[in-house]
Amino acid sequence: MSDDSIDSAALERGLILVQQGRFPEGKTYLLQAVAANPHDPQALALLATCQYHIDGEEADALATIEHALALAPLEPHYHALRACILVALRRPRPALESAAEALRLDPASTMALTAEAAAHLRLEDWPAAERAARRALEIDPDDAGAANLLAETLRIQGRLEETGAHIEARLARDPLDPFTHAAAGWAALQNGERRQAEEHFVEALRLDPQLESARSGLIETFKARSPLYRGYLRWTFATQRLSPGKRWLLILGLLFGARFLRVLLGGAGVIVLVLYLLFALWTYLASAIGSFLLLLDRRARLALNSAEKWEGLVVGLTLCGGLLLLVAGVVTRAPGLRALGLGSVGASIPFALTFTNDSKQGRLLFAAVAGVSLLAGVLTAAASYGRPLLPVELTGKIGSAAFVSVIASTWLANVRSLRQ
Amino acid sequence: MGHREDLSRALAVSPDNIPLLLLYAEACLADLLSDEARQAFERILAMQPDSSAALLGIARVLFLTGRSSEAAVRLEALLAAEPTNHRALQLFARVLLDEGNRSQAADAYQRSLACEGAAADPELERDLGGTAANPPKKIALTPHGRVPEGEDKGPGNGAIVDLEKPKLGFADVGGMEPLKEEFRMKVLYPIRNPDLFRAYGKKVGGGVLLYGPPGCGKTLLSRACAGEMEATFLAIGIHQILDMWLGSSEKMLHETFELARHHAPCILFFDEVDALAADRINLRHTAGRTLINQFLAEMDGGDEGNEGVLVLAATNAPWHLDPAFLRPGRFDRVLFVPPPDEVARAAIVEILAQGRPVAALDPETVARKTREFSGADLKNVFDLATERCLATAMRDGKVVPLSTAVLVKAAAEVRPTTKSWFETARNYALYANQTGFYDEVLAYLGIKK
Repeated sequence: MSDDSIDSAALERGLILVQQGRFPEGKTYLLQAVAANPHDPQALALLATCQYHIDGEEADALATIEHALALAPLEPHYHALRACILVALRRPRPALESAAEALRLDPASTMALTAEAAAHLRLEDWPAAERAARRALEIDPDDAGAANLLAETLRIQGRLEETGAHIEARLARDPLDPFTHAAAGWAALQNGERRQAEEHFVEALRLDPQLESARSGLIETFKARSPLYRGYLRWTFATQRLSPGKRWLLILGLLFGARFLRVLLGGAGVIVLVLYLLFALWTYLASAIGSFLLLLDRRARLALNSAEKWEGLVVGLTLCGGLLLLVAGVVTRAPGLRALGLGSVGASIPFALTFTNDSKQGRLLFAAVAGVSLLAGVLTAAASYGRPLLPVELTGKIGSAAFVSVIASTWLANVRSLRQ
Repeated sequence: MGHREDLSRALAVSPDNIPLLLLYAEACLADLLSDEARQAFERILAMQPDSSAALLGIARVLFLTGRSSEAAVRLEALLAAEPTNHRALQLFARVLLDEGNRSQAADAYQRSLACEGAAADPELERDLGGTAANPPKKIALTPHGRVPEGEDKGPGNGAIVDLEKPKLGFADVGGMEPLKEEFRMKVLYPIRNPDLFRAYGKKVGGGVLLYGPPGCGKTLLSRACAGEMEATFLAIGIHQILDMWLGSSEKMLHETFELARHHAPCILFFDEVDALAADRINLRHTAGRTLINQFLAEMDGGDEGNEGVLVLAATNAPWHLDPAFLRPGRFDRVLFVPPPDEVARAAIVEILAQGRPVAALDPETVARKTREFSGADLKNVFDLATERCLATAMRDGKVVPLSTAVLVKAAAEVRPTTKSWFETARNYALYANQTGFYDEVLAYLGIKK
């Protein structure tokens, strides 16, 4: 067998495996093809496709497709693939540039339009995402990726009737598309139709058990059994459609509104302020507490992943344990118990921002804040029992730092780079 | 070490003495000083570029240090110049076996025995699992029929397949007793007692699907099954399967089944069958659907019937299989092959320890500390531990044998590959188990639904 035939056999085998969706196996053959001919842009692009579909290899995929582009800079498919990879790497702005280049070379590239829609979706520019998805569907009405992105943009914008009609049409064309079932589940959940949402998510998972949006949707459906959680979901869906700037305005408006009412209403204003604080706390803790409650359900807990289980367990224990200690401290007039309780309740807020956070910096920051809060509780309790572990003045400073950092963490939670 | 030092002193007096250099290099290899050995062999080559002893020596050094691909390239070059160098052929067989290419390894070993002055290597024969004593017959399948390898295949693509009668039995597979018993009940007894099964209206033959994490012995168990049945074993690997997608694939698949029918009783084994029996939903835009339809027709027996042909298939990704293959008469018996149990792991550890310097090795302790490790993972543990020992040997200038402690330490750094398989399989078992296909996975994971 000559080198050329080895090279072409590896490429053909790799291509078959890519068509079958067996990307890790395909990668093995395509690496052989690339090793035999490192200047074959087709082999490189197929290899990049495999890497793009393998979790954790997106950065390698980007390097590979850029190598292919260096060899064939006028190939629109390669630019479109680069755009998709950049979206997966959470770099939507360069993804838009790549998609634009792909569309310049081939205005009918649905892959580039879909990547453009996904990038706009990540930038939370819903109308632009909708436009790109609709353009893709004008070219290819069967493009499942574009159709599902359109369903998501419509749902996020609160156009639930349009979403429902769109999904119904999609399901009529392809009733076995797991992505459409997942989209239908989210639309039903946003519409308050829990049973229907559960059915769609279960069907999506039956068709593709690895579909993360269906699994997370199913968990939200389970959590939504609680009316309090349903309230939280309504708030989340309502704020989701706002731009980041408008979301900040809303948060600041609520804060200053509560303070204004507190001044305006005098004694009764305290109730408004307490309600505002409880509401604000609930928005941070609801998801983790929901996971904690699911842990108690033998069947529902199977749907939780490891990070969600840890989040539920740690937040549930620190919050419930802290509240118990706080009440015990108030009843028995034991300042040590009160300090421990406060430290624990305080830690539960940054803990709720830690485990399921994709930002590494965010995870480290919020875990550190939780640690400081717990430490402050323990140091203050020890000091109150006359056995200070550190000088009293330093203990006081740590307590103040814990209070400030826990409050700050609720604001930092809105910074996108710290919470993904 | 004393011997090596003596040789080193002698070399200081006579640095260009090739026989002395060879002795010194061999002594270095015996003390696992691979760098020194390689330097000595390279000095010989500088003086005598075609020295086969030095070329072979460098290949041995490369193989010992885990660079088996490089060793294979060197050996191919050496064997091109000296096709009857039996030492090179036997080392080539070892390298091929290490790379998982059992049939080619057996072939190289057979060729070495045919050379003048060659002696049998019982350890290599054992590792080859009987393939050496009973070499596979190679057949080329082509769209125009089947011909022995080497003869003109005519135009078009072709796939080479091996026909063999394995001498391996279940006794040669350590541990896994429950699975072996399941094999006996579901596979062997029906074939050994066909009348009894027919009396109860059950068909003999058909298909058995083995699924489970990679590297856990699906292929080995299938070969052992053929050995127990004293049947011909016709193995079709991923390469041959993928080659079937290129060219006149349906005809070649038919030829494969014809070959099995012709050699009945025969086990026709498809490794990584999901590449051939892929879910047609995923292939709507390709021409591959016809090949799958042909496979289904052959499983059903075609015009000739599959009497005496047992189709065994292994897959790491049963979720990619077209559901039509799981209907009665096709792969209607399904066996989950879990990671090796403790007894099996201890047996694997013993096999992996062969041919390496070992001291104070307790296979049971290593087996206890390597729960969920596949055979391939255990090999990774050995490779890592060997690298560590080699590094220490090179630093201290003395042989550092593999021990239980070194292996256990290495095991702590190796993440079993079965974990990621179970992470995926768990989702399928939770959400796509309407037929109970994944019940054994749920039971293995201790999940009660």
